[in-house]
Amino acid sequence: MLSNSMINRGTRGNTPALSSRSDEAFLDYVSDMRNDLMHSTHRQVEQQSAKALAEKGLTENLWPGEVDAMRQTMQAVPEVATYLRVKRSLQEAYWQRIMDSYGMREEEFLHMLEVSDSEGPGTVTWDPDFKYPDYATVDIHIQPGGYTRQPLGGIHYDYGTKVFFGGLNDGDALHAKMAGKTSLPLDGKVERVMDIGCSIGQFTCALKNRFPDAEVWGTDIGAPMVRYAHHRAAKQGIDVHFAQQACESLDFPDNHFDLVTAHLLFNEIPVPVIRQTIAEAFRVLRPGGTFVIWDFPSVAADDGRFSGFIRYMDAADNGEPYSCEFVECDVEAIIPEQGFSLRYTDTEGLLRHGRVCDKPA
Amino acid sequence: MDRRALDYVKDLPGYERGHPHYFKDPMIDHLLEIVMMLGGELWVERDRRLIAERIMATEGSVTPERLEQFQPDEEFAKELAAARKQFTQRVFGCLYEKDDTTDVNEFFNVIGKEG
Repeated sequence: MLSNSMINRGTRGNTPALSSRSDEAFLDYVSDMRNDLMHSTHRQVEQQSAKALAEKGLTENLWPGEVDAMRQTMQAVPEVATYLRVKRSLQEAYWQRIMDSYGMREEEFLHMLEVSDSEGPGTVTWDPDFKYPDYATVDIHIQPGGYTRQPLGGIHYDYGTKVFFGGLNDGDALHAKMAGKTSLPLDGKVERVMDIGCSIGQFTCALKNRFPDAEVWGTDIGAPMVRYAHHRAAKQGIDVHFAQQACESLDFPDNHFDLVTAHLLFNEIPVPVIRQTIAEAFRVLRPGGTFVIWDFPSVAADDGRFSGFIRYMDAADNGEPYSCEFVECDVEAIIPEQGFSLRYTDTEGLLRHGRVCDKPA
Repeated sequence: MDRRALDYVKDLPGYERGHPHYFKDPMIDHLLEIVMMLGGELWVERDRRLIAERIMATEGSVTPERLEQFQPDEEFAKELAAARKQFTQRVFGCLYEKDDTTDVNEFFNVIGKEG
């Protein structure tokens, strides 16, 4: 056995530690490289890609048909090709390293989830025979197995997003901040809360921390996500309930919740599912209840940081096939079609109000 | 919901994982990736050496178990981060503008655009 393998390394915050210091060091390196080679070059990439696309007449209405042509065009712009290569390779590298590292202890983690399934505080319900719709079987962010097909997908996601955020969300700091800014129903009553598309429950737990007396639920289509969400919450002593449910088909009665949230869900589901999800949120909210959607701004309200090219290539090569149609679908028009009154929508950035949707009292 | 209404998703770019390359000669893609991965493995060795030296200096000896369980305190974590930054800039600095001050907070638009 290698000298650095299979030593119990405890946890890092709310996340199980990787199996070796070497894996941690490699992922620190990847996180830094993302910052240095991607974030610091995106302005230059925007300018050069826009110029090259303009010369080819590829400037508007590109999604989804022109992605191959865009990629081919950039072969003549080495700086842009390098940016895209770096981005893709680092993305592949961190997922692979995380999978390899936790995979060394796969049996241990599967047992951990099995034990946690029946332990409190809080509960989790999931169906081993759940039939996933095709749209939900994508490797979002090219995470191998995505949210639905890899039993340890929740743990992988936890460490992967730590690398993605470059330390910014350590301790779930961003989720706590967003939960703190989440608007309430106009009458202020918050006794039942549901976070749909809850992933590993970071935002759900932050909502429970904000509303400690409320009954808080997190739902997600992925069994690996809700199982790990429950484990992660229970380890922190947070009493929330997680359930495997598709966002477009929620198993709750009408008029049940005071507050429903969707935190970075809509950019990862197709528009027909978004429509149905908004309708479901309307159904399960009581009159006067509020649905808060935290997500990317619509394209018309985009602040111009990213050209369409960056967005399209990210969607195509980073496993986000639905993100473009979401930002281009004018969700602000869909929301009232389902019965909601739109109290706020963000016109720049992500963090002012989100989209705040009130069900008429 | 009629599942057939969602059949189109399978044709969207990104639905399948794919293996994109970005240079006309895919070997350049491979070489760039190899260099980045080698950089990571080199940093791993340096990180382990720096930690081993720190343990040796403070505790007199080091074992694999001690190294794996070692957690840098805040000050040493900053030293490691600075060494890592210096390493990546020395090796890869030619690929980006070192005086670009864009940082992770600005990139994610988290701090600057709050209401």
